[in-house]
Amino acid sequence: MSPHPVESLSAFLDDELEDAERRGVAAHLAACPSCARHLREMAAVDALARGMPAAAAPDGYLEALPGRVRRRIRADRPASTRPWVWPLAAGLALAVLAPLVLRQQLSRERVSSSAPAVAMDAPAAPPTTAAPEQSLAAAPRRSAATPQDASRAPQREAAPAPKVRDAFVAPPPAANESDRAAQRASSAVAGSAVDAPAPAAAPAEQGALVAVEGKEERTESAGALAGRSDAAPSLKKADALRRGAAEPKRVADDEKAFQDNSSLPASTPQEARRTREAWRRFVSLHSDGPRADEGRVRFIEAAVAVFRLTRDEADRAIAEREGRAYLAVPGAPQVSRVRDALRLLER
Amino acid sequence: MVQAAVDATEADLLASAQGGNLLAFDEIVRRYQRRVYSTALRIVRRHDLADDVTQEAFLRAHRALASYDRGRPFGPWICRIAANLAINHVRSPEAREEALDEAALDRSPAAASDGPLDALLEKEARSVLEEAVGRLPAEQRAVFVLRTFEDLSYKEIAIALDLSVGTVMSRLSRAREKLRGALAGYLGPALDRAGGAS
Repeated sequence: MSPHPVESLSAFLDDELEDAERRGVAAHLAACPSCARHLREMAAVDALARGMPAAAAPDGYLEALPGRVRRRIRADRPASTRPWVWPLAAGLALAVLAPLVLRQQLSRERVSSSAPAVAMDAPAAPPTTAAPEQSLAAAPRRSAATPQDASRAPQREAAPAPKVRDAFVAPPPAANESDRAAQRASSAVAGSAVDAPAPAAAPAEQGALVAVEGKEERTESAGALAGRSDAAPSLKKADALRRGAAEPKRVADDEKAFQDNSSLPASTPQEARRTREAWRRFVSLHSDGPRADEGRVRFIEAAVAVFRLTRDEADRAIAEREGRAYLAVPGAPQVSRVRDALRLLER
Repeated sequence: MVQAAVDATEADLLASAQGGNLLAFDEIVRRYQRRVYSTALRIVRRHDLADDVTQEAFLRAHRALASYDRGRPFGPWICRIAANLAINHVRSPEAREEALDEAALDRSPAAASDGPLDALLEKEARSVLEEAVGRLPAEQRAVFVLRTFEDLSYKEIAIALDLSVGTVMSRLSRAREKLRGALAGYLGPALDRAGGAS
């Protein structure tokens, strides 16, 4: 009898041996009960393993995962494609610094109630954000409007980049510098709500909020913080305020982009293609906005319109592909409209 | 054509995602997330690490979409990315392995078997196997997972993990030997059930 081919049994089981070796092993197995048993035991291990169900993911994990992946993809885009980053950073930096300045100012007032004007020029206050109390609500807008100003605060706040991760169970480490700034801002605001007089803290929060632009990365990061079991009620309140103030701005941005696209001409093939690509950009940039679904349908309709003008098969393929992709999403709200659009490709 | 439109293919979704449609990529994530997470968890053995790996795998897949050949099936590709990341995780110094949550195993449906004793034995055997898989060296475990749960060929595993086919073969053989040894006391009933006892 040939030597026991123990090393080859695993590959024999998987039918991964070359013909000659496979025949040799098969011949050995026919004559060797020990190796035959060995092979069956190996097969039984495999069968047992294959019968094991996948370990269950925690409740809600899989439902949340696509959104978390999407946020990471957005955060992964180059900063140049996210023009709101610097205004956001500026607003958040102000949310951090303003309560500190206020506290400092108030403590000075307690020490010497006769010197409020001097306190405004105190050297400890950062030059771009050391604003008097009455201008706090407007200051973030000014900061956001000037990229030079906006760039200073986040540079001062720079910290070593932690590992990028959007954690599901544990409170998430910030995905990028903006999120980290947001977390620091949230903490600072929470602290200010406790330590600083309420009338001063509230305008500071709301002022920063206008500059936040309502981007998902920021608001959800704050939301995750607010959802922590150890989060102070004041922090949750601050986040709720922030979301409420930022949402109208985001909706306005979406709407403006939508209206801009809606007025684009599409009489010639060139115009129609430009319009189609504008809708493509809209879908990509505003995929969570209130006009997202309508934008997707407009994109498909624009793609169909291009084909009807050009009769170019490449344009037809784009329209068909986008239409099919839309119809594949469970619960897509405008299925019949998209089907109608796709029917036009046949005329 | 309209009927065909209803049956959107994976290639349609991928093409739309390649064009920048994040919602199309969302749908791709939904279709494959359970498989990717499961592959990752079987290798890294901890939910938080599996979560990292799963997210990172989809992120890398998205980055590589522009050059992705839509003629290739997406599932094996994304699972290979996940397996590679999972191995790197396990090799990293901070990685600390833990056994899979027993509760997760308990949530599994009861094994189909002939009686309560068989069911008990099979459940126990699974538990032993799960522990034994967890004790395998990461490299052997990854090969075993990709072969047994993902049904990849040796060549596919070799490409995925940047190994030679011979290395895949020997690692898999060693892994199976260890698992067989760990399960020695349970294999008799399993063979009997399979009708293959000698």
